[in-house]
Amino acid sequence: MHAKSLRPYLYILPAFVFLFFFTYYPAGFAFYRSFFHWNTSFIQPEFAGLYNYRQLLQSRRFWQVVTNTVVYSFSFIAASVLLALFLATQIDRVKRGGSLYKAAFFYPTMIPMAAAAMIWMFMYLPDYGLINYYLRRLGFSSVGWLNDRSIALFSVTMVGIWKYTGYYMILFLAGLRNVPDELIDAAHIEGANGRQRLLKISLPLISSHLFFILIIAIINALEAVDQIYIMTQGGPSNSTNLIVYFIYQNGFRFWDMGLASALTALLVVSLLLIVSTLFLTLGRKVYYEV
Amino acid sequence: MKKKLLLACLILVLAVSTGWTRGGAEEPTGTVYLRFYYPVGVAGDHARIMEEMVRDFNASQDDVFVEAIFSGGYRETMERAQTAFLSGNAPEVAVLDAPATFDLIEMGAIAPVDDYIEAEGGDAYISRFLSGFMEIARLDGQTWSIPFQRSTPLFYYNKDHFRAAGLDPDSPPRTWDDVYSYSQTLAEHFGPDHWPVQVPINFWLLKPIVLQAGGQLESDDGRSVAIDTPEMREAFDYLNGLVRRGYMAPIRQWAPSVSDFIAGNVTMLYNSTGSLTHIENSSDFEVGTAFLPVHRRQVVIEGGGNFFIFNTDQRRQQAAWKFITWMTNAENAARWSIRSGYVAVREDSYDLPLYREHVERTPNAITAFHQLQQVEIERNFMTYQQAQLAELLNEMKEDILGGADVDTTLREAQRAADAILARFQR
Repeated sequence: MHAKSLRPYLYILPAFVFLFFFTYYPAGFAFYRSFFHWNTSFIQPEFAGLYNYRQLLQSRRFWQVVTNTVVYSFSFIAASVLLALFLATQIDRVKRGGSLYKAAFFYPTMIPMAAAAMIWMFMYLPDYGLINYYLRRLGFSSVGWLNDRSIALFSVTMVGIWKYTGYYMILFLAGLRNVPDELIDAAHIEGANGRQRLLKISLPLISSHLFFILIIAIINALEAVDQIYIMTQGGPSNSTNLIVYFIYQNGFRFWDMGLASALTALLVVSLLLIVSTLFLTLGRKVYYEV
Repeated sequence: MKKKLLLACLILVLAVSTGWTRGGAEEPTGTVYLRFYYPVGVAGDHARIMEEMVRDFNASQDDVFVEAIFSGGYRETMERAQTAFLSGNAPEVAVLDAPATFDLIEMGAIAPVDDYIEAEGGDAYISRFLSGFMEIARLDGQTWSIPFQRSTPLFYYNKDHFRAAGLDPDSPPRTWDDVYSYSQTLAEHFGPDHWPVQVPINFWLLKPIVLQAGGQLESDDGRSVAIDTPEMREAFDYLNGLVRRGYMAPIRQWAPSVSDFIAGNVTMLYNSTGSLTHIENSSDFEVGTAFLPVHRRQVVIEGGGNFFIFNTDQRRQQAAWKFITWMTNAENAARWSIRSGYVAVREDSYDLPLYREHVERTPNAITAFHQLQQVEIERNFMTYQQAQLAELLNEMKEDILGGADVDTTLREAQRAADAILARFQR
């Protein structure tokens, strides 16, 4: 082969080596180990067949975690993406101070999730937290934001929405800025109202952004763990335990690496399925020529 | 993004690969370097005190140099130590929650200390430690750890609130029934938005309540747990009753419960002796301490962290022992107790003038010691897979106090506990 044609492969190589050792090899290793007993009683892993998977599928906790994760993901994705789109369309129309609003809404993105979770934890404190303080002053009774199992998942979802909406909004804005003004003006003249201009002109034109944001949001939803670790540790009554935290809990707290590996394998496979399904369906309809 | 998602398996491989880096290098002579993991399990500036003491130890001699590594709470420290051990990179010495002993032995992580005790003088040496704290360290005729930051649950109360409500600040409740009647008085005086009593979610506070009802929680060999029992029901009758009558918030976690007490939102608090110094320093009211209110049996459990020596080599284990004996000599046990609020683990600490003065200055400091002497003591909740079972008990408590059906919850928890312990049945 000609030396010149080898060059791009050489340039890719270092990055690929890192990617291999830190992404694909561990993923493969976890998959392999998921078929082993590997815990405090089996310091040396021992082949276990499908034992870990059977354990999981039979465990009530596992299904509770799956339900929590699905509920969290759907509400997080729907709320943050729609809110981001709404904010972006409004800020896009702002005549003055647009960058001020952009900075203001983007701000939570820059705070590390761990720090943000601490802030929210203080706001959520039951007896003298900020939110309950004002609720009481307005004459309502206190809410157990993180102590009531019917509300706690909602409370941690709020933190995720608060954290990521600004980021998605900026991405939407970038798309909206590329929508040619002539098209909007033309639609205006033709008598299209605001909703029609958004749904028929802007949205189709930024569908590549929408698709990208959707993928990112799915990943953000499934990898949520920082705020769980800091705010609730999966409680109360396991009601805020999400899949990544559950992996950590089984792997490092209970030191059952076999079980944790099986969970990791399930997570990776389902994520791949979801993302590839999206690419093969919605991805085909995306318009890339803005 | 994907990288972050695969965090768990990434750490898996890191754990394995760090094992390779540890070669069979020749042992150098001279100073032995030790890594020492320690937790801070209660509110307060314990990490600073610990660093100070380790610095003093290092300055006191040249044979051993200890690096003190703060590792989070008990849980995090245990996670870190296990992971490090299993990847072949264990610390030489650590303070860990004593009930981790079964799991540490199961993994082959720790070395028994009997030979070192023998060399130190055997019984003459070890009998200076409070006997109530030694039980949990001894299993199958061997000693696996040395007590360090030991505690008992303690009953804290706000004397100013007692006075305001017309209760005698010098006679705290002694029984479960007292807790009810005191709570009623406090509730009538303070009205809504105030909690007369708080028992935060923690298995460590659940076990004594079960024992006080006349029950048992786990078997001595740590291989079975009795959850679905009449005594457990009685314990929950007590706790549930407090919640249903509005005397206690259903679910409060361990650390925030201390802040609630300091802020004056709670009048009577179940917590650890380890929180004493922090509570006394941070409260702007007069703090009272008492034994845990009892029921059928006058009993309480012990708790807290012990020194463990990890399986390394003779030279390092010997050095770790040297460090441990220094940290737990009479003066240092007293010093740690005075600064932290933990119970001094040695009887001879209590004879030191330093300690006598301390007790005179802060009479609350001696309550836990008296409790240890005047009330029956049982060991902390200790089983195999202790972290997992502790979590199960906490969750069960959250379920029930959150309103779930007691019978169903206990039955399911029992089944889950049996499943966790299935592989340990002989």
